[in-house]
Amino acid sequence: MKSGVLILVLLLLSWSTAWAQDPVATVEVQIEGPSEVVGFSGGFERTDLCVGLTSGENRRLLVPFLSRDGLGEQFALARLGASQSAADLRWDQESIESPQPWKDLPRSLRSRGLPSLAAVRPRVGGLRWVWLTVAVLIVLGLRRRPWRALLAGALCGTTLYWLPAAPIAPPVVRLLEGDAASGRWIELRGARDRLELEPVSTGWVRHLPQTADRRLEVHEHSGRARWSILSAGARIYFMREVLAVEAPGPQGPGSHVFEEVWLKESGVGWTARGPWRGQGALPNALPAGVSPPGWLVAGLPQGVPILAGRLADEDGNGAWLRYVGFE
Amino acid sequence: MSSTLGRTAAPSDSLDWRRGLAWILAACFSIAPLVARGEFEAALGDASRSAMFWIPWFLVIGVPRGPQERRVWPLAMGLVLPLFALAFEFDWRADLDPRRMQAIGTAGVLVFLCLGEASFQAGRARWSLYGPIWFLLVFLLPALTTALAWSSGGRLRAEGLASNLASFSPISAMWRDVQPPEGALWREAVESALFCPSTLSCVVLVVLASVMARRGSTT
Repeated sequence: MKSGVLILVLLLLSWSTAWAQDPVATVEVQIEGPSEVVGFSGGFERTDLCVGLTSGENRRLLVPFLSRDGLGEQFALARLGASQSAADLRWDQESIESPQPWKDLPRSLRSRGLPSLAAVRPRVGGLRWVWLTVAVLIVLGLRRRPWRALLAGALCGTTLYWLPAAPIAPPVVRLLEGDAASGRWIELRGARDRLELEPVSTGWVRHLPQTADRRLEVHEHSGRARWSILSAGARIYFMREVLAVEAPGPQGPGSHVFEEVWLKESGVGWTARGPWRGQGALPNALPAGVSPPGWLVAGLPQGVPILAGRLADEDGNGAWLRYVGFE
Repeated sequence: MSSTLGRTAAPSDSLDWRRGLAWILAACFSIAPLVARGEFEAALGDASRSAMFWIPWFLVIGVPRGPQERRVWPLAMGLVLPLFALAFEFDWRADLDPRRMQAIGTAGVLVFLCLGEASFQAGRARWSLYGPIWFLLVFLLPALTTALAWSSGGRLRAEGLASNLASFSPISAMWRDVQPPEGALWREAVESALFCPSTLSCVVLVVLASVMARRGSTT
């Protein structure tokens, strides 16, 4: 009996970490005001609807919630006890859409390296160096009175936070993963701390470290809705299957514009090919080309030609493509 | 301050050239990660600059000193705090976990204070054992553990003797906080930064030095 309880407890404890990717299901929700923020436990994590509505207003929203294979429907959208909003919510169980199980995707799409999302490091500006020099001079000027020097140092350290600082753009990565054998593609988007998404279809979400807290938000302003996945201090990745992606071939890059492209052929290894734009054939190998990033070529299958490249991105974010079975 | 050997000597100036040089070097090394660019910056990755900041200062602040020397750690702390604020703000703006950073900051200040005061008290008491203990904690343990990790190809890095030894050294402990294993909870990070054997060993060291100073020991 005791061992049975122990096994059950261990199974329950391991439940939250048993899935590397959690399915994100969607449900259509009709919300009627007044409301500001309404919290729901959709599936097994919290989803907040941040929709400002006055009394009598209403909206119909596509709401994502974290599901699990085959279980999402049972847990869909129970209002959290802490929610004080008077908003009236209605949803139709039949509107719930769950993604297919992650394991049903081709193995070559599932077992690849995730994009690196190194924290963006700020730059120490000139104003801070001037401030630091002044602080050091003040402290050294008080060297005969060390306790006053300590106090001055503490005050100078505190004042640093009032100095203006340039904003930092957080890293956002987009990656298209293709598999020639199955003809299927997934799009991956990644960010740190907070991943913003257009209200899209179902998908899968992964966050690292897995122990970090996580929740979803739906924002709606002037008729435009956005989804956010939040996990403080974590790398967040959202994957969804995309259709109608034009695959690059040896005779042309399709609709893609490559800033840099690499090709791996059997027995040759990775070769840099430089930029690949327009409708021309794949450029020849460059004798002294740059190497592809480590994460881009990690976990890829062996024995098949693979194309990897950095795509042109107007937003200035990282955009990449990997295509297994390029020929 | 009168010496126990019967000589009377005025306390030396708080900033002789050797200490000044050591502090300048420590300041340069501690802020070097903030100005890193290119491959050096990429190699540092997500490492906490505020944890790296303390390592050179731990090396210099506890250096054994003579009985006539004044208490210098308040002045050193006055210099360190604006520099540390820069490193702390750097991590803050890079979105590192603020609770971890606060733990690193608190542990850093505490260890810095303990090593500085222990050095002063041990000098005042002419406690000759302080030198070997300081050398063991600050230099020998990190050097030994690094040598063990290198010679064993990394197998001794995570567990066993090397890890246990390293936990007593403030340098090794702070180095571990530079980049904790992915998935470490903030509570573990706080515990590892504040309640680890290295912080406790520094507290014990300052207490021992103070006791020796009170007794006027010449052990």
